[in-house]
Amino acid sequence: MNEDLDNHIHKLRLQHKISQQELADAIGVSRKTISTVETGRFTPSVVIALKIAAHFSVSVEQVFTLR
Amino acid sequence: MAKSISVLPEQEQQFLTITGKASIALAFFLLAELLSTVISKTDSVIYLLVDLTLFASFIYFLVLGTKSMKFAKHISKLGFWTYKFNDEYVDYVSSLSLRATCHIMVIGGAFLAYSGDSKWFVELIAPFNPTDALQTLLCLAAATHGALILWKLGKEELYE
Repeated sequence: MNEDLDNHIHKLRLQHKISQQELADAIGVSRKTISTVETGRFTPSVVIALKIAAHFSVSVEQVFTLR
Repeated sequence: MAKSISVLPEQEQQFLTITGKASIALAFFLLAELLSTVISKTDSVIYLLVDLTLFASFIYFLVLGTKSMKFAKHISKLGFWTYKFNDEYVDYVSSLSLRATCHIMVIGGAFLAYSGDSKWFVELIAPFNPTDALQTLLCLAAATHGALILWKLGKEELYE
């Protein structure tokens, strides 16, 4: 668990009405990767962070923030 | 020109799960084999149970091994032979389990290499012998590898 990192993936998913599986398929990762990133148990690479941000058409800072 | 294959992250996850189960089966096999050498009463119920575990774990290991072969066509060669995966979380779990296994083998191996044949150690582990201690180490390493994979990949998250 990364104590310094906060993310808004759950909120963004709800806004866009997509499931973890749909987001995972869209950016080419497993659902497990999305769910562990979302719950803060796994810190993703810059590439995945950028892909998630690009999928929601927001900046990376709007998805991930430092606590 | 190398043939490129599109690797599905879910298939990598399935392959690693099978590997984890195979490691657990191997750990049970090694443990049952170890126990069967020390049980003197061959007609007891415990011996029968240990023998049954030995047989069942061996068959299960073979089944999982055969099942994992099917993934050779669906995941990358690097993933299949070295457990380096494209999916980040699957790769993280694979690296974590291999790292833990490696530490157990290095620490246990170093201990057995230097103290495995010393008198105090042989007396301590009697009726087992140093070869059995090595088998126990392998069992522990396989169990750690499998348990970590199954725990990390099996854990369900809060959000769906």
